[in-house]
Amino acid sequence: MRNVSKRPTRIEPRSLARHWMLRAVSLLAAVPLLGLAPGIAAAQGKEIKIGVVLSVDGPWGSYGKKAFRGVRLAAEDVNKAGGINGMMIKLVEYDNHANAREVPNIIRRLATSDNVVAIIGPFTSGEGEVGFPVANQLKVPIVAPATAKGGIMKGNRPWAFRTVMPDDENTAPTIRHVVKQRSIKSVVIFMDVKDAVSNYMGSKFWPALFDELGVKHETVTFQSNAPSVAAQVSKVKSIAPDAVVLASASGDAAKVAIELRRNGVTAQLLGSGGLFGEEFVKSGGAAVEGAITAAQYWRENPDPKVQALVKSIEGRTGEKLVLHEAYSYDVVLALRDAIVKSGVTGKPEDLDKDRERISGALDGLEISGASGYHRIEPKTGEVFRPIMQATVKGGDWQVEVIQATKGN
Amino acid sequence: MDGALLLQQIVNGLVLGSSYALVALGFTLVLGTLDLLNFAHGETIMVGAFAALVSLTVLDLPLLLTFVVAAAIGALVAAIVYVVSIRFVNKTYWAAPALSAVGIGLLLQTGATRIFGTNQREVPDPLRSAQFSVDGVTISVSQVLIIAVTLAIMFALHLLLIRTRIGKAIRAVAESVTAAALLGVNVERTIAITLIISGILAGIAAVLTSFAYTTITPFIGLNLLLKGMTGMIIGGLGNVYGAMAGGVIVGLLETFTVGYWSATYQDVIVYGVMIAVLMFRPAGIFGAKIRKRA
Repeated sequence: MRNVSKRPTRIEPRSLARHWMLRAVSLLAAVPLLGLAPGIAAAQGKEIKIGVVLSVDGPWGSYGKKAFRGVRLAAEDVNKAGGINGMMIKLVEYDNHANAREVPNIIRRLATSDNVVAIIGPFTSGEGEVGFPVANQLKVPIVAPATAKGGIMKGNRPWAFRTVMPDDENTAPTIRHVVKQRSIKSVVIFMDVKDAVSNYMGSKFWPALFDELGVKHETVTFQSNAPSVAAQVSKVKSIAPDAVVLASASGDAAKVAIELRRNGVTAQLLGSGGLFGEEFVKSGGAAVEGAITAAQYWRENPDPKVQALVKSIEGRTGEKLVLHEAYSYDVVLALRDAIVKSGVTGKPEDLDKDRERISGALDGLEISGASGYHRIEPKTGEVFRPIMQATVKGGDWQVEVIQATKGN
Repeated sequence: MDGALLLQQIVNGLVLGSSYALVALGFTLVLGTLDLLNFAHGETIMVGAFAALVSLTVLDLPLLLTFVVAAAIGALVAAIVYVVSIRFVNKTYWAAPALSAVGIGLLLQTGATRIFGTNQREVPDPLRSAQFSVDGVTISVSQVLIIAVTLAIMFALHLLLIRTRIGKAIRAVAESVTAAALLGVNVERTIAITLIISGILAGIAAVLTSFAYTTITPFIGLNLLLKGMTGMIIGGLGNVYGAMAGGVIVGLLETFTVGYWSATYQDVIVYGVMIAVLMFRPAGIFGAKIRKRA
């Protein structure tokens, strides 16, 4: 996946050699990458610093790359429009190189040395689990755009927020609908035991949901990035279920789907909202045709505001706007709105108060951004987004809204 | 227990084990003959796998040429490893070449993620549709090919070491670098050739493992290396037949653990067996005795 942004930043080096040199010197250490977009770096006058901790490496690297770009584009747009209360956003970016252990150190540095008013990230649930407690302890607002594991906000309030719905809350209504519609009687849950979200979904959420629906279920397990899943697929073939639930990250799910189809398993493929994204379709190809998942993002949303933002972002990147880029873009908008709403001063002596103001303003904030309407719920730090069903048709996702607002 | 499923899992285990054996063979060749830990071997296979992917999908090359391209790329990477990590690195500190090879491996992985991204890439298997069923067990021609080529490589490697001039030179260097040099063996050239042979093996392994694994990512190298090394330790350090047998044992252990129990325990079982072997038979199941290099 190539980043074709016309305004490359220093986190995506202009030459491989330069990046390799950097890696060799840093030896996996988290390196502050001074990821200022040129437009931002050139900005003069008063600045408001926002920290970013994401990663362009590891299995989620392609998503992380898009998330970084979404944050930068939003900051660029906000600054072009005059900043926030006259203050220009200055992003202080760190790449944790897909190493969860680096996340607490980076958050500590952002909070105590870089003196940011808020932090965007981290990316994965595993990173969130170790990063959120540190942000909570240091009393700095942290907003994660992609940590979807259920229950991880508890114990990390009032400073932690996320703008992705937990997989379980988002997925259950969609799957109830599909099971009923397709008369599914038996399923195999194909679970990744290494990934935090997949393990939670595969061992808790999916079995409970299928018990509730009276669907017979069995579980087969694998480890993320396992070279081969042939043994598990042979087992699925012998069970011959109506559907197979792919409880894993999208890349691994695509691998499982390919192996299933190559072995003649034609069962309906199901997944949570975590699979909804371009990697699953791109990596899975024909094997994932017809797969159904929950969805939290709709690029074709007819809302004129969404379409204007989609057009503006895609015009600059030359690529389709995908979930993680849109979510990350919207996190900057959420922080902008919170800063405006709470009267943040940006003065160094007001740093603690400013952080408190932002945290308070994020509670209950309604956002209309590139990913459409969503609302950060008061007190929990969770978000509500419309519930949607996505089906792979003709090599792309087709989205259908199942529940537009909460309580429907 | 379902008999057909059991037989199918044995086939799956043999195929997976063969892929580990191929990794172990290349690694053990360098370790057993030169006492060098080439930690870039897994990434060499990863690069070879992407070479195979490009050959099949972009260049549309036939299968035989794909093997040639992957083997050539594997040899090239191994030659680079030799020059950067061995030739000009002080070998009196044993860890220096090994750590340098780790660095090369990281560079190769980072380079691959930048060029190919981090997504899973499906490797088309030209032989996949050719398959046959026996008593409910489905076996594809490519699975047979993987097992057959692994066996062939093992015998070829054995013959190379026993019957050829370069094989004798490699064994001489393995016995004693000083004595080999005094007897007129060009030590540096022998080390370079050994690395290149392991690179060619890595290239061939790359094509076959790509077929066995269905998809590849830039992160397969480390996993393969660990499993290959484990197979090598279980089978017998520096022993070609031991590496082969060890790789197959690891493949079967993994397959049966995930097929009949849970993937949660696959590492516990595999590494548990490895620890047990190290405790009770340190030279490996098929190893002779731990020798000290002159």
